[in-house]
Amino acid sequence: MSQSILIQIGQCGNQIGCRFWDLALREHAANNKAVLVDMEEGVVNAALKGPLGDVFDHKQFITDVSGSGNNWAVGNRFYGRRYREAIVESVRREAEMCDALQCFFVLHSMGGGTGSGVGTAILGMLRDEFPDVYNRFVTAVFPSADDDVITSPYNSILALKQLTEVAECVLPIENQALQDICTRISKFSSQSKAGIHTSAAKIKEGSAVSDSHQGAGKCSVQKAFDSMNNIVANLLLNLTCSARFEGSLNVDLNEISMNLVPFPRLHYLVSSMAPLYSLTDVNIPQRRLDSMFGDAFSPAHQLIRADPKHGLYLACALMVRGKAQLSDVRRNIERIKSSLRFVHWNQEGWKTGLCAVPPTGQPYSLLTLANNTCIEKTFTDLVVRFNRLYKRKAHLHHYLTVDGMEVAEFDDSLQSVQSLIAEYKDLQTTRQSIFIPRLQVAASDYSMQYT
Amino acid sequence: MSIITVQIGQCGNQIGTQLFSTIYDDIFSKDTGIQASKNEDYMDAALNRFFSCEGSVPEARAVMVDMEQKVISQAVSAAKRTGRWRFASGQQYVRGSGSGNNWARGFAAHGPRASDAVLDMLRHESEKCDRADGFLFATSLAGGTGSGVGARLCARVREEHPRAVVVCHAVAPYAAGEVAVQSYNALLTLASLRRGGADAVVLSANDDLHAVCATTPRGGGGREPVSFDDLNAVACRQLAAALLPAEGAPPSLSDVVDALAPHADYRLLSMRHAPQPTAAALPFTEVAWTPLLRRLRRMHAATSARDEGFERESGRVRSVADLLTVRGDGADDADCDAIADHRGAVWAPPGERVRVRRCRRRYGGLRRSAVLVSNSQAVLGTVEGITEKAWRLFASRAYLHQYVACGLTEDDFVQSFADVEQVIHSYRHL
Repeated sequence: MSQSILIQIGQCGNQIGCRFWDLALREHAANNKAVLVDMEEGVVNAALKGPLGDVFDHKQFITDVSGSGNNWAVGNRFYGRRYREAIVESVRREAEMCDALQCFFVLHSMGGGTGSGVGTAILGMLRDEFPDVYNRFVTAVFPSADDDVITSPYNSILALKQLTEVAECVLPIENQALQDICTRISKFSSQSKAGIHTSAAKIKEGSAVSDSHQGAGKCSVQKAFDSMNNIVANLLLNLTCSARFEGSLNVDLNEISMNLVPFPRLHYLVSSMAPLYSLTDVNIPQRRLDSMFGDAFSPAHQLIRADPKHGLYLACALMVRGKAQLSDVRRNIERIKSSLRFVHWNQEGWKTGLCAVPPTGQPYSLLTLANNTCIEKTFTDLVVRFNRLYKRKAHLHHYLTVDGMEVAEFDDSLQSVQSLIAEYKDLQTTRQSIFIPRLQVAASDYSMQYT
Repeated sequence: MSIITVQIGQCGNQIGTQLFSTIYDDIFSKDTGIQASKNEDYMDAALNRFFSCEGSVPEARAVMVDMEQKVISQAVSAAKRTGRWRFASGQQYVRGSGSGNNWARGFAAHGPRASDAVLDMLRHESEKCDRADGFLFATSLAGGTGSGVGARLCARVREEHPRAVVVCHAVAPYAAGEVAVQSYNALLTLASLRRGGADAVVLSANDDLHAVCATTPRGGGGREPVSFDDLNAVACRQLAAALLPAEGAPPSLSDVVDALAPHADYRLLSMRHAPQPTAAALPFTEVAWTPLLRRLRRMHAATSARDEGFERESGRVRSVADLLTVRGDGADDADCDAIADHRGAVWAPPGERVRVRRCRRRYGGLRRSAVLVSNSQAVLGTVEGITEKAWRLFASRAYLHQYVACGLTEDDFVQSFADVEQVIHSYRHL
């Protein structure tokens, strides 16, 4: 069976990753090729104590004690170097157990020190040590504007350069978007409990994408993160469902990278999921399939705040699970196409996947992945926050005291992100100005003229 | 005279499995309209053509290829579940981690690696036949394995067996997108097959198959959802009707190919099948030969896959050659001039433009039915659509880095465009 290895790094990466394994094990006897990396022991140890302790063995964990102090340089340079061999060994061990290793799936956050720093160091290692596994697929959690960590813009920009240069495909996720989704779900839930809705509609137990089935005795902050992590875990499940279940049109991670990345650096995808929950009330018909498509294309369902309707689509993937038929998907593509702007050379840039088995608790679901120029706004905002600090050289010394870290790294990273933004913006403004005619067959003989 | 099927990729394996089912079900149909003894002869010939009957359960004469396990496992179980036929064990090639919808990965990386093993399996299949008639490839144009590995294996089989007949059934994707890079994959496949590999390529376009499904809802109710299973069923109904024996000496595949695809620039075939009743209407459907054949002719002229609701033709659809197979009551006496009423290419003498095969046995529960396999301008719509879109991508250099990473160059692309434009030019100027 073609397989991926999931590498989860840092507190955020490991929390989401463990949640993903938890859900995957419920759905299916999961094939657990994973490496878990953290420079503090808390999260990974907690995982070992729980049910996941039976699923993984110690050789899959790489931990240290003191953490990276929210410092990308400490993560990337210090721990990245110290643990390089151990990490490569661990990955190699997992790889040897695969019949046919298809891709690496990396899970981390951008704003901290470990996920961001060690995570991007690992990407480089994977490229160098496993060049045949050409697909490095990253899910990266970006910090909100009001993130606790003051230096999160530094960490994010430094990491972003690496993602642009070393990853094949990236799913940026924003904490703010996840929070908004959770708020929306709990508002609906509490309104129906308070009888604000005239119907008895309640959210079906366990069906919300934010549902975590643990949570007893946890503080509210942790519960909030649990809900947010759950959403991302569900995203990952939907992304990889073809690997676990049958369907009439399988789609794997390599196909996603192939179809959604027309130019190598422009590989950031806006993800969106519908439905966010199912209703229990049997009198209210399940929101119809067509509404699900409409929802998935609304900003309220996106895992990153962005405005694709005002940007230009380079390509879009639709991963459908459950009782949806091919013709339902086609009908909805026709319906929705007219409200979306696709780049002129890829008007039919759709990739469709059909998996027969829906997610637990729902009759069907849709995950959309869009390569859209609107993503540049996310990077632009990050650059603004970066510059606010960098102008004043705030906190720089924490980074520059790390062995191997220089100011040039900051400048290079900033420049990389700025040119990425420019590339997206350029595409946004290209019109089909030059029409290049097709090859012509000369009438008299079979020689070709290439105009 | 046996046909060995090579089914490649998800689509190819789905189609192959459906084809064997359709054929098997038709062989054992109770509604044949002919004498029992004649039926026995037919059943023997047809079974032997597609199945090896050495064991207790007939085994499909097939080699199955894919770059991941799941699809083939599903196909093998689907066959087992029928309880009546199955795929022979040991005739499956599964290796690798998928082609990722990348034609170049399929053609340049997986294809060569698979060649030797697949050729061995083919040899093994051939040895089980008294007489091997030729190879039928079941592939698709849009993906990475069916298209890329398919093209490579076709070429390899041709190298190993220069005198064998190779017919490739290729499914063309929906014009409005199943795979973003489908037009590249399709273009590269068509170019490769033209350069060497298949003697004939039968194109079934998903848009056409869908049109047939959308107007023949099961159960007779309103518009019902259409699934890939439905599309595959339509394609296989047509293909089986064309490949099953006609009474008397079944013509060999090489006769068929010689008649239909005499020239390198003209190897693309399309199928039209009529009538297309709903499941509910099937027992009551009876069309006489003349109206049926006229309907088929109109379908061909209007390049319509479905047998009703299309506009009358405005221009002509010129053919190089056609093969008509009529099955059912009074087939021997059916007047087939009605179908021959269109111009052929200049070099084919009038009497030889349409070959007719006749079989008195009913097909698919239909009193009278016919399938027209034609080498004609009907393929232009699909092929031009593919080329146009692929060119738009190429002119913007989109996705090229993905193919270049697997060894293809921009020159290879240009050459492929040249090859396919040549085919388009040839058909346009019939």
